[in-house]
Amino acid sequence: MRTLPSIVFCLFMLVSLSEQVRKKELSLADRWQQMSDLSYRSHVISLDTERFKSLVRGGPRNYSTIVMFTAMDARRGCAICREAHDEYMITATSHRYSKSYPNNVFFTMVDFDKGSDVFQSLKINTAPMFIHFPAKGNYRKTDVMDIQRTGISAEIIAKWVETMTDVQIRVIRPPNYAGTAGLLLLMALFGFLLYLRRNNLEFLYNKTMWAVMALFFTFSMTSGQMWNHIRGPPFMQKSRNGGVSYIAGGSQSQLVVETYIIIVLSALSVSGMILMIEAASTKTDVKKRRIMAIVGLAMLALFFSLVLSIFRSKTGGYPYSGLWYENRKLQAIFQLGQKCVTARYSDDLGGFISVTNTGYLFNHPITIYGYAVPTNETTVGALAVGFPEAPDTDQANYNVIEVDYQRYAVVYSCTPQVGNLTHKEFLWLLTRQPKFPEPEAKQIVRRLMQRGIFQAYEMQRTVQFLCPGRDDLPDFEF
Amino acid sequence: MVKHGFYNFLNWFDERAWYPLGRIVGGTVYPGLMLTSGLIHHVLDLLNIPVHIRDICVFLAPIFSGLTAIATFLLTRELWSNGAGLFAACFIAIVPGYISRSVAGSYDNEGIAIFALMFTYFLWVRSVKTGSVYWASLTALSYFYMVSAWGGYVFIINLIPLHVFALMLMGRYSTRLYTAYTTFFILGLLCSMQIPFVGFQPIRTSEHMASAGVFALINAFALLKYLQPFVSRAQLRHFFLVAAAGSAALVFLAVVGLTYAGVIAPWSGRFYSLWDTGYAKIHIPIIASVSEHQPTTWFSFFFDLHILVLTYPVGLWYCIKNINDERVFIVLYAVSAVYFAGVMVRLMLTLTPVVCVLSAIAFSQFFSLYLREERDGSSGDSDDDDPANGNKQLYDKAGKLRKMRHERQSAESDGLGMNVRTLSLVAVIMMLMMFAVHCTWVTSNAYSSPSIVLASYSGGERNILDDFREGYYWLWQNTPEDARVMSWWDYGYQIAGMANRTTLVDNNTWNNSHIALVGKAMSSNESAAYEIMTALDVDYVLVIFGGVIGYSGDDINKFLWMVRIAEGEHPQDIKESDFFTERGEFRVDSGGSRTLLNCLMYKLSYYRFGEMKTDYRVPAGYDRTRNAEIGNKNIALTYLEEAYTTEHWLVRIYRVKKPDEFNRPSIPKRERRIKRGKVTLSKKTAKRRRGSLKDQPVVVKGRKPAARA
Repeated sequence: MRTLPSIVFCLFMLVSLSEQVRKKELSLADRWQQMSDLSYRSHVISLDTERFKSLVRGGPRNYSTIVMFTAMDARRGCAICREAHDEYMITATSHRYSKSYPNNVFFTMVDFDKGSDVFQSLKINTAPMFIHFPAKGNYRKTDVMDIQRTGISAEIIAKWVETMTDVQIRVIRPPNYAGTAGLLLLMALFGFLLYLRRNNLEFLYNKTMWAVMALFFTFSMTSGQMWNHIRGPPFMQKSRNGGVSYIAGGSQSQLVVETYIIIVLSALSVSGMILMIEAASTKTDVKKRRIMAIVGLAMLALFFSLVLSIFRSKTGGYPYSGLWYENRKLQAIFQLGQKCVTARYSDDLGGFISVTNTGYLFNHPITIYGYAVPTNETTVGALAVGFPEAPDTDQANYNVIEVDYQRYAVVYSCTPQVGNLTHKEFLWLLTRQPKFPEPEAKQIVRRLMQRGIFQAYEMQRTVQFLCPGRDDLPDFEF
Repeated sequence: MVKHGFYNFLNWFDERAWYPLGRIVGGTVYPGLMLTSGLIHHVLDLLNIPVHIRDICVFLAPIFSGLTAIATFLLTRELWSNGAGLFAACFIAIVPGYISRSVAGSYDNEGIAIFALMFTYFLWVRSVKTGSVYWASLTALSYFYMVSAWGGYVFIINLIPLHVFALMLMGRYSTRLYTAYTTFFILGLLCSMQIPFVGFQPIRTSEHMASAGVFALINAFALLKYLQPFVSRAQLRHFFLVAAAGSAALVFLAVVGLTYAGVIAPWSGRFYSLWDTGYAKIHIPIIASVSEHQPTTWFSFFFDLHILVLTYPVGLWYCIKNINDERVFIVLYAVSAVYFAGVMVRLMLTLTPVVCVLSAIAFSQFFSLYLREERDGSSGDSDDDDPANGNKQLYDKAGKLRKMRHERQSAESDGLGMNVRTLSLVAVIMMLMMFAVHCTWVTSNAYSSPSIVLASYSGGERNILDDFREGYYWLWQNTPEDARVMSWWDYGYQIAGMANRTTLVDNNTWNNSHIALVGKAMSSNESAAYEIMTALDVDYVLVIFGGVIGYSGDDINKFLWMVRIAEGEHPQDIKESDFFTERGEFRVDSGGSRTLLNCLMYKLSYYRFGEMKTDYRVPAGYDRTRNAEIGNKNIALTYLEEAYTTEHWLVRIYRVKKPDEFNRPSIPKRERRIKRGKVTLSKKTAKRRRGSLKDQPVVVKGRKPAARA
């Protein structure tokens, strides 16, 4: 590969010379000859602007060209270009050695630093990009390979080339010597160790070593390393407010850091439990054993609860915490312990607004019907709500104090009780969707507090997870 | 089967499924489940207890989960102690990972397979322990039952040889092992070949070759052992090494050679995808499309196993520390099952029992140590209903008792102290209680909702969305007996079972190209789809549409898989990228790609939906599942007509028009040819014609009067 630029340079000189001599358009045969000459020299023909124009865009031609647009220079900072280039080389090499080789497909590439005019003329502003230039006519949208979706492995490029040009390429990867060499090295090392310690192979019978290995394997599996391997999630994510988040939000995804955290936590809690058992079974100093037991217990309890809390934060609606249509509220006595609370307002009562509040207490729906009347014609968002069935809430004044009409509303109500001695306050944050981004909810709370409603800080989240009849079971599909 | 007898069941050719191919049911299904329920029905019938076969099917899974608990108890008792066994049985009874398969009404292969699995393992451990032919034969019989029930039997037939191999490597070979394995292998092999679906696979496929290889190896090993007394020691050592290595290499080479020669089939795709994890994604989209075949996140591990996922490594640790022949087995089982569970969510099911066993070992170890001194001190501070208490009296192993007496002598001076012990006990019991709470929560929320009747609670009272049954009932009542219904394969069994109509594809996804053809029909435009549908003789098309009620499991959400599967077989006609917008989004609104907005599935789902207002706050044609206003509102169908739509639009059924029902494409004038039948004239005269009127005026033929001048 090192010699490629020099060869290309020489060729470029030759070609430019010959072009200067002839100056005129090349004939079909010349083009073909030139292309095949170039492709004999290197499997992927590197093109500059001139050559691209004459050989790829210029007509007539009877061959189709696959062009990779790339930016290999380190200054461009295109990390994926290197990978794409390697895969592309593999495809081109496999094509070269395929049975149908001398055919009408050529693999070429245009580097940004050599042919920036080409990039401009084709209005390409991303790299890498693969475009097929058919033998006849201009290229169309369908001739661009969709690498965003398919990826850039050599097999996929080959398949794409096949659909474009009907030329079959069986991808032959050069065997990955790195892996084999590594394995051989490891085995040699292992063998060497065995040889060194040939007189006492006791360590093979060391149960602790085997146990540690088995545990390590187990932890890596239960923490979802296999998922990481298959799905390739990002190491960590930037969260919305600029910080870095280590834990993925949904229950169906995870970050690499997260799995490492889980490995560490579970390993620590397991060792805590082992410590506890060891403390009770060994026969050493009592004090030492007591300390061991206490430390083990603390480790187990602490790290187990940490895992549990991460789990909780991911479900959003684990028992007695939650994900809500009513996102959060000040605890109202008539809604204690309910989950999946929804409130439905509809104007079907003729002048009145009917209110249906539904919550679930241990999966039993608890519904309360009521009506609401706008108290004041001029102030929008002030309602008097009555629930005939619930005597202690005969008249509550609901005020919508903040709303964006699309996604959330904050409802506040304050009713004097027992002759103005005390008052009953209600505060709800209602959202249109069961799921509402938590940072935004916190922002709303902060805003409420700035407006002087300090109770907002005490609002608690409501369970909106795994609600009956609402199809939000943890499905592993999409 | 109850009606027609066993042999008819085996020979049953179902022409109603997989139209036009048909399907040989007896040969493509694991019959264990049906046999079991049929047998129970028969036995009850003999005892004069009339129970309908359907009731048996409904309650089969809970019954078998009870049996699983017993089998787990037996296995754990063999491995560790009685107390651990009780713990294991308690755990497996409530752990969500297994409950998901054992709720009443889930009539599934896995339900009985886990019982068979655990029971086989128990018998195997027993037979290794005793070395008796009796137990080994029982193992083989239990294995036979497992083979008849579930394809997962491959796990057993690889794990047991692995165990034997590991024991041989560890120098733990014994004649007990030899007896157990040879008996099991020969009987098991013969038995498993009796199942029609399995047939000759055990000697023809690579999945089973490990067991045969180990069989050869153990025989070679036994021969060498036999020769041992006759050769001198120095000679033997040399000879032994060479012979062992040689026979191992020979077996391996033979398998490889036979695979190349084509006698033995290489690994089938489904098993291969377990090793090469990227394989399924590229080559078998049908496997990748099923949600149960996805890899597992730590979240699902924790969701299904909760505290057990943290404690079973402790059990693993102690099993390795105090290893013996049968604990090697459980260690190997744990390590391999955790790998498989990591690759595929579905195989969590095989992991769950071993997790229960090992956690039980950990907890019993813990409790046996921490409750020990409590017996002579003040007991009864933890008299709650936790399973832990039941085990207290059961630690009666001889070794432990002796130790205890020794400790009792100096209990006050060198025990851990009352406070520490009580504290630890309370903490651990609390963890177990949390586990129990978690299990009930998961079970009541996630795993006990029927899939065919949806319930919605919005608006106060419970609304049962019975659209599926409504749709199937309509099909059953209003379509001709032999009508062929096209739908995506998820609904194949339901249509066949509840509507009793012929389906094209169903949940037994054995023929990928046929499914791809249906996928192609769904994802091409109407006229292209019509060609496919006429070729397949489709009369009705059924789609599931959740846009009105916000049901997320509908066909539009599954649509990308249809496209993907269709693309796998017909890459020229269907391209996945056409269904995305330029920015790579999958959108159903007006920003979506043209191809998507005009494909059959889109049209069938959203036909007439543009006029509908789901809610007064949103514009007409607002899809609640995807929260978008649909992009193509006035959909006109040429080749199909709407036949039925259920109350909440969940099930929509369309009738495929016959060629004479829609406007045929115009034919150029000179190619038009009017077919005329042979014109036959009646030979009867007017007078002789029966039923003619009297005095009917008779037309007299005359000549045309000449034109007047």
